[in-house]
Amino acid sequence: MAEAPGLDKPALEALFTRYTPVIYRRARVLMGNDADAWDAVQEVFERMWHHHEGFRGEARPMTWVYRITTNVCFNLLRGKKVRQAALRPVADEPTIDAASAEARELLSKWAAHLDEREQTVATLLYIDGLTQEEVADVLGLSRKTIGREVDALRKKAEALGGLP
Amino acid sequence: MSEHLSSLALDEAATGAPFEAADRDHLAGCAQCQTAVQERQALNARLLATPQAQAMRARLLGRPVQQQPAAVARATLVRRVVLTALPLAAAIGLFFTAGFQARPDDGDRIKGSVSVGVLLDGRLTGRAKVGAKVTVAVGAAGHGLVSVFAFDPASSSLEPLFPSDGSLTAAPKGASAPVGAPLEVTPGTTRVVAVFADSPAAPEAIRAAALAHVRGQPLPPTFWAASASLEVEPK
Repeated sequence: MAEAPGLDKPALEALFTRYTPVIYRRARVLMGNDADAWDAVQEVFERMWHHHEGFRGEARPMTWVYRITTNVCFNLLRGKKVRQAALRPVADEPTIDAASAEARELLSKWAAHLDEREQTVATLLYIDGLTQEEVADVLGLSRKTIGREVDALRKKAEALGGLP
Repeated sequence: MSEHLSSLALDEAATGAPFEAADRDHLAGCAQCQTAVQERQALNARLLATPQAQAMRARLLGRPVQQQPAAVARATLVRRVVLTALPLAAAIGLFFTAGFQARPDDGDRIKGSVSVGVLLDGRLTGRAKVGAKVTVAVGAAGHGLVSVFAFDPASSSLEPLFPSDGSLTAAPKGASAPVGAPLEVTPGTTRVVAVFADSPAAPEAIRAAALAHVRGQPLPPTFWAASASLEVEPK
């Protein structure tokens, strides 16, 4: 692991303890298996170490974690050419919210029809249950832009069989 | 705020990360979201104790992997099964990170979730200004003894608060009961750690348990621990 300039060991330790479970849970859902999820955790932390100034500059650092974890997972999935499995239900994952599990199942049916951006937005909206404002924060977009994308996504989803 | 917290806000609350004032206000008055936060905290603590998480910690931070004793690993498995079915204790700890350790010889006897929080004007808080008077509250979950420490992540220093010699004292009963005298918030005191036990132990062992908790490592099977982050703001 390369050194993280400007971060001492206690700071790295604190970041690891705080964010690892969040990153892992998100990656586990998107990647569908433990090994790939841990690969994603490592890559997210490598990005965090090397972009920690930007990360720490976030008013809500968790939005950075959500965004980068989602991007890393989709990149890994693209590299493995297993995108179709990106949103499949994870049977053995500790379920926090039954509604989210149902949403994942529905999204898995749509995975073949949504592009990467739409899957990202759908993940944040329907799996994570974020508000449009939070999705805009996570993706670094204006609320107006994300509103348009959500409208387009809803129309596409309705054509494919409804919304969660 | 009428709707419950999103996954993002729950993760922020569960990990002590900065989050919106409106979400904080909602959480303070919503038992459902408080339970959801506690569930995530329990999940997070369990995940950090897994061999995979410890291996990743070692890979990223260069820290040696601590092997889980087989008996503890078995107890952890039992605990995972039981905790999935049981609702977590009603102890309120908005920012605590609970660490469970079932005793290997206890089978599936689970006492519940220990907790610690910081009270400001009688309400749990995750932030306070320098000079503010706060009180520590603990939820002992049936355990009889407690020792409270202050941990400064910046310097990795751990100082005993109650008792001042780092030993164990009688834990108050209740889901979240005050312990010790009021404290004044000083710069650098950012995390309160409570170690619980059922029988007396040496201060060195108690301190080791507190350090294991803040490092995300498994605790010895006779200890339980929780911690609460406190963001210290200038006056």
